[in-house]
Amino acid sequence: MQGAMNSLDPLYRVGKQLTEAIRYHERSNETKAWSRAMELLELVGIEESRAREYPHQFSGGMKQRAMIAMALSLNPDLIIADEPTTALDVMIQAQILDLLRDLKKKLRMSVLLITHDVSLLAEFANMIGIMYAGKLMEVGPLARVIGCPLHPYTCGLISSIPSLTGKKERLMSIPGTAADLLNPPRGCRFNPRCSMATEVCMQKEPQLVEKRPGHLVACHNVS
Amino acid sequence: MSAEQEGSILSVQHLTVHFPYGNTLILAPKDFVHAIDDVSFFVKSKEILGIVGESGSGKTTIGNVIVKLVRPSSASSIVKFDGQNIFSQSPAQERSYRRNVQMIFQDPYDSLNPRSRVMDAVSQPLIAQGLVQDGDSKMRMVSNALRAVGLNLAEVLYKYPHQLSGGQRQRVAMARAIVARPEFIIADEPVSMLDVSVRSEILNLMLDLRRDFDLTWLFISHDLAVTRYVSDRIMVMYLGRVMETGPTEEIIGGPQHPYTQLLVATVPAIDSALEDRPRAKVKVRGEIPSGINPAPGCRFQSRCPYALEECRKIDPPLIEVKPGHNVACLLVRAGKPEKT
Repeated sequence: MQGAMNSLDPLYRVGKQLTEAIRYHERSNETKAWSRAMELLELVGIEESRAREYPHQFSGGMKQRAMIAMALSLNPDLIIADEPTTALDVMIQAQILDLLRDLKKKLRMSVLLITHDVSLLAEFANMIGIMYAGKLMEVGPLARVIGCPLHPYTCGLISSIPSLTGKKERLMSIPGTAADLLNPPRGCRFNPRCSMATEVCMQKEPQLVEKRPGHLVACHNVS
Repeated sequence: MSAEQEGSILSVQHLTVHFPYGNTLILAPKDFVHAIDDVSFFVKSKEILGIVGESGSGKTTIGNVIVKLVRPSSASSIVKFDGQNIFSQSPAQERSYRRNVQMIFQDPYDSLNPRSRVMDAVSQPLIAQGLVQDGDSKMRMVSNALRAVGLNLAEVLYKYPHQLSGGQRQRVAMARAIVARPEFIIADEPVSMLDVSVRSEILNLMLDLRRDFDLTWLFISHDLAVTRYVSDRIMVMYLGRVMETGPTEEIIGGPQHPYTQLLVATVPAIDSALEDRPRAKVKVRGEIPSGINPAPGCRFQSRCPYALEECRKIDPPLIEVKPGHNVACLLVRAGKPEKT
């Protein structure tokens, strides 16, 4: 499932697009595929009467629901959701996340949620991985990574996010700009922006190592 | 209202903006998008007022009206800046108004001319306003503005926008806004295009500029957490109407309007990873309806979990529930019930 609003083909009716994947992968006829498509739409909360509409007649939230239905059509074990709610308003975002959460439970699947929004992960994920410049910096259970981040990049990231309910403190920021991937820095990719960088960080790239039970960090300075 | 308006730099009364919809070339328009319907508010000098709302709530149109990019549709709409109606200014007044009120746009990739260097972009307002006579004073004022927004002069002065990062571009846009020493700046989603780590720098910069230059900000955003961080007061909009307005901590901590309550409850917050709160969420039904010829009654009524029969008939006025805290909902009443 892709995040963009533009992943549906504007020239095909939504129901028709759903049957395509089903017919391609499972040898079934048009009618069978269509009734399966209707089941899927019901599952994601779209009325059957709307299946014959074109994508431009759908709102952003409904398009995303249709995309989820399409992703479910072959009974997957894993759904990859790449920025599924980025273009949506907060309330619709909450609806889509609720839907994903329900489906995850009902259909016993796993979800890999890719996003730039740490707050979104905080609401949804069990485990989170923090990436920087093409490398995983930290992986661990949600509450551990957000609550006591070990990697300097994660610390900076989390203290730069304004909170809705907590104390109002001056936000921190990470100096510099994201690493140039054409010419990534030697050693640890975060070292030019890291306040704790030492000699070894510029020479050797740190490996992702388990520093606490279930909590992996790629940093020379974390013991 | 009149007591509150003391010390206000900008006051907006009964602002209404309707855009004709459909074929307007031949036929007189039948349908109108009600972008803003009878909105009144004020901004006090040196405060930051945050306007939040979903897309289509009219928050951007408000900014556009204030900088006169859009004209109000109703004669009773009054926008006063420093006590002066901005729609009946003399040319000289208009000139000084345009210096005093500046705007920063959402997308720093689009708002800077790709063919002018930072030096030229930032000096443009000075030239347009006739504020500089010679190259030296121009250079001095541009350098001061760039320094104030935390840019390294030697690094950026003669660069083109494509050579700068997103954060640097937004700083250039801010330098351009402050170079002519305005009193009032409208920032329309200034950080929504930026990375989180850069975003906080820009937000801190806004707070610093207010302190150093005695600026007043109107901060327009869809992000409640970001708005809370910078704003003194928050105004919540929905489909062209004000739902609730009040001091930031009251709006976030004790929202009165069902819409604000839902908004606060549905915003993903980083804190929720720590507090183990399985939130008893009130479910929001449906999506934001269209603003074309809206139905009578409360705008939020179609999605409101508490909507009553009356809500379909009466468009609730803003009622003061606490000093400075106003709510437009029939269910929320302070003192005597309002007659409509």
